[in-house]
Amino acid sequence: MDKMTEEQYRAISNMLRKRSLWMLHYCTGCGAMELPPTMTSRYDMERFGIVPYVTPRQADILLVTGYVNTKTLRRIVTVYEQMLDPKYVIGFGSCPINGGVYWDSYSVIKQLDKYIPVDLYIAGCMPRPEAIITAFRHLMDLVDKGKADGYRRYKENLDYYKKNQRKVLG
Amino acid sequence: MVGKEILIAIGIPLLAFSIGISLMMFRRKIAARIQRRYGPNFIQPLIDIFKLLAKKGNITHGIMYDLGPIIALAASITVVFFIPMPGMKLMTGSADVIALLYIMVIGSLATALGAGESANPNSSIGVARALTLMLGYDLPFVIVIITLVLKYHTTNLYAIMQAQAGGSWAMWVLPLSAIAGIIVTYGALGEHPFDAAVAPNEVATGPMAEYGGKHLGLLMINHAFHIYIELALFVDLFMGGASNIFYFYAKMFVIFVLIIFFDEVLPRFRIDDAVRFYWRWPTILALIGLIIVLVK
Amino acid sequence: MKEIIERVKRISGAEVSVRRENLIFVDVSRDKLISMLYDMKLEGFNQLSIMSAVDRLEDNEFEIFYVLYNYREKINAVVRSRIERENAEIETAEKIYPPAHTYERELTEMFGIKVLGNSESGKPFILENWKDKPPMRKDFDSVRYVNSHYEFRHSAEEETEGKNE
Repeated sequence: MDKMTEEQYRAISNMLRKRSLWMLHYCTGCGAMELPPTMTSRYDMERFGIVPYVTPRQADILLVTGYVNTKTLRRIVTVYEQMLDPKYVIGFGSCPINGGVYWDSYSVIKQLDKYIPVDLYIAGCMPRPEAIITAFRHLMDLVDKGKADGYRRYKENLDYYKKNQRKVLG
Repeated sequence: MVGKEILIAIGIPLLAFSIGISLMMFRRKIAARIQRRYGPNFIQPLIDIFKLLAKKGNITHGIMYDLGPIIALAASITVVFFIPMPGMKLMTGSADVIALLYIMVIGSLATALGAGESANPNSSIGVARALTLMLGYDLPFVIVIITLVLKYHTTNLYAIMQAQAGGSWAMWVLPLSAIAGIIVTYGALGEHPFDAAVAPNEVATGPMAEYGGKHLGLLMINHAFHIYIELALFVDLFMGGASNIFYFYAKMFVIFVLIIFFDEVLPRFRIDDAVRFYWRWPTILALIGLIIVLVK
Repeated sequence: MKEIIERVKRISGAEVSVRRENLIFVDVSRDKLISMLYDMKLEGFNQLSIMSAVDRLEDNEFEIFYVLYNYREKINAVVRSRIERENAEIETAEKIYPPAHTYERELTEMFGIKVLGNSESGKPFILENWKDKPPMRKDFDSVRYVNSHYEFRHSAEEETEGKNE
């Protein structure tokens, strides 16, 4: 009996949680240019329940928009560890995937996945607001099925992530 | 009869909370329609509060940080019992309007102490701004209440409400004090010309900067109660309460829609401009209203 | 020709070449650089727009340039001078143009040129934990550094976690 009610609670909780994801308004790179059109009247983002909030303590989604320096990576790791569970990370643009335009730069990291766990990538340089909204709906779908568990992977594989961070951050 | 009292003790805050939450729901929808877009889902504030209360982190900065939202919520629930609802006197016999002014400060003070305990400079700036704003709007607020007390020769809130029954609302009889009262309600709610304390782009939402998860859920419930308290106080003082709950809700709704219309279009005052504004125009209007009552 | 260009030509040590109506290049030798900047400021070139260096690897020299702007005559002037590449040093220009302070800090960090008289010249500025040679030099192989420090993602069939859209 207890096991069934826990599953039902988890199902209801996921269904309600997916409709109210709060975004962290922290523009790390050049891709943050596409966020204001998504938030305002034309491609309205608030009808899905996604609202920008300013502190990591209050937000659910960390959007890594664009390229990531080693200097920014140190701060992003601090911000990610300050957020409260459950939390999700979305990688914007082609720079977190494989370096993007800055593949031969000495200070841009090439693979974001080695340092913090990423749930979703959006391809494009920069993705248009329609692509961003499609990605948010995909994330809501993953939350509903219970598959967006980046925060659990971070806690379980903490040594792997910390070793990679220390190697590149010094 | 113990059963009836327990029912009242649980039912009245629940009723106040549902009125506050429904006004919050209307607020997001109306604000979205003003900006020519569809708004969020209609029951979005409830989903937000559920999500916040279901977060799993535990972060604590000390005992006062945890107690801050709890004391604020307790203070708000206490104040709800001192404002008469239609048809029920509640506890207005024990405390009059002047005591109500003192009890209403406890909530802000508890939030300020809790936010000061979290070691964030943004919180300290936000708390300083909130208390400065309270200094600003208390002056016309007290003058307006003194005007009403002098007009109706009583400080009991229920008696003031009864004296306006039958169409002679204080809003028509004392129009200048009513205008000053509405402007004070803007500041007390933290709506847009005067929301320098909770400014997301300047100080990261002021006192709420370090709160997340369950604490933030309690603070949002507190905000719903706060909306109910401010609007119910205005309706009781100036529009003569109501005979049943639907008229009460309709009056609160009309005032709230008026507030939203101004809120969505106006930018934000700097904190010293806000205090200077409060000590100039609403004070002058309230003083003229007071002089009219004294002379007549 | 504008009259200001005639006046600049009369400053000692200057070789002026006019590129466009509002852009002139002034070449000067290394020991007359600071006095040339002082004279240009007296002529009315009040604003230092930018100051940086070009790495001329084939001549084994650095070329330092200052872009100055004159508000009244609306004319740009680029003051250039060459210094040698090993143990490169220049004197600071921050007494004449105060914005040069920050540009010289970047010059030290990115090119390795020492600036005498700048109080913060050797301290770390933008890069954190940098132990290699100054990265804007042309003999710094960026691709070799990247391949030894970072790893690229393998092809799409091998990476299966979290890659969508």
